[in-house]
Amino acid sequence: MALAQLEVTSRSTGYADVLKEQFEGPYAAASFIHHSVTLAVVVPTLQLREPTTRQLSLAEQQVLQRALRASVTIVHKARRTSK
Amino acid sequence: MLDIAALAKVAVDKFPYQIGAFYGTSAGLALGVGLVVDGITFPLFDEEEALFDTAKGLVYVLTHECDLDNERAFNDYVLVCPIVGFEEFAKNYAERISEGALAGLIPDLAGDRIYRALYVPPIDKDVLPFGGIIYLNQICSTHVSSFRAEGAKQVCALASYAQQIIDIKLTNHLLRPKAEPLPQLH
Repeated sequence: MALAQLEVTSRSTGYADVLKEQFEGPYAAASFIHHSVTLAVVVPTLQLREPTTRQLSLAEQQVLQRALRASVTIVHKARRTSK
Repeated sequence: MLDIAALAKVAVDKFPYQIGAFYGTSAGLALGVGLVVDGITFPLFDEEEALFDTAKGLVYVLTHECDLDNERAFNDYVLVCPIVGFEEFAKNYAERISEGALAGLIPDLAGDRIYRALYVPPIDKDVLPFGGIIYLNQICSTHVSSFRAEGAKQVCALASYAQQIIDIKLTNHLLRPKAEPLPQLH
């Protein structure tokens, strides 16, 4: 499907600009096809595929958690109660 | 010494969306999707204790305003996504992993090439001065009264353009077809 057609299709939903960027970006077919299905638009020429992404390692996810903790105020610390 | 400003500049440069069209005022907007609010209470898991602490911080609101209308039932909890400060992330990353790896990650993070996370650009010098990170598996719920509590403050609203970006990211995150088929019962 031509990008121009994509824009026309998506303009009525207000997603034109974003879809265009997504279409050209890493999410490409996956998010586009999802929205196409949502909009009941037939897209015969595109194949559903995993977007090209970088996965976060376990260590990086732990860093994200630590960073979140550093970004907030802990107002209550949970403790196990002993019975 | 880690140069956070320089790293943030790389992030902003690699950000594929229009930064100037990302945030707008929240003035006059009811509590609902699109708002960025500070001082909000939410649960935060402590891996060492294996329990949830109670945190207070900056969140992006996900629940639609119609589902927070006081006149309706089931309106007492709000879905939010906490926002991680870019500065805190960069410091922790450099300390725990390495500055070199951080330099390699930032273009992918800011370039929206990480499935479950989204870099969001700086808001102002006081709030997310270097930007932040929304981690989609961190979505949680909090009580609506948190938004009326002392210290809660509406910071801004995402522009409709930015909300669409997050909507697409959420759609992909939550609604993409399952990789493994579920049982089909008849």
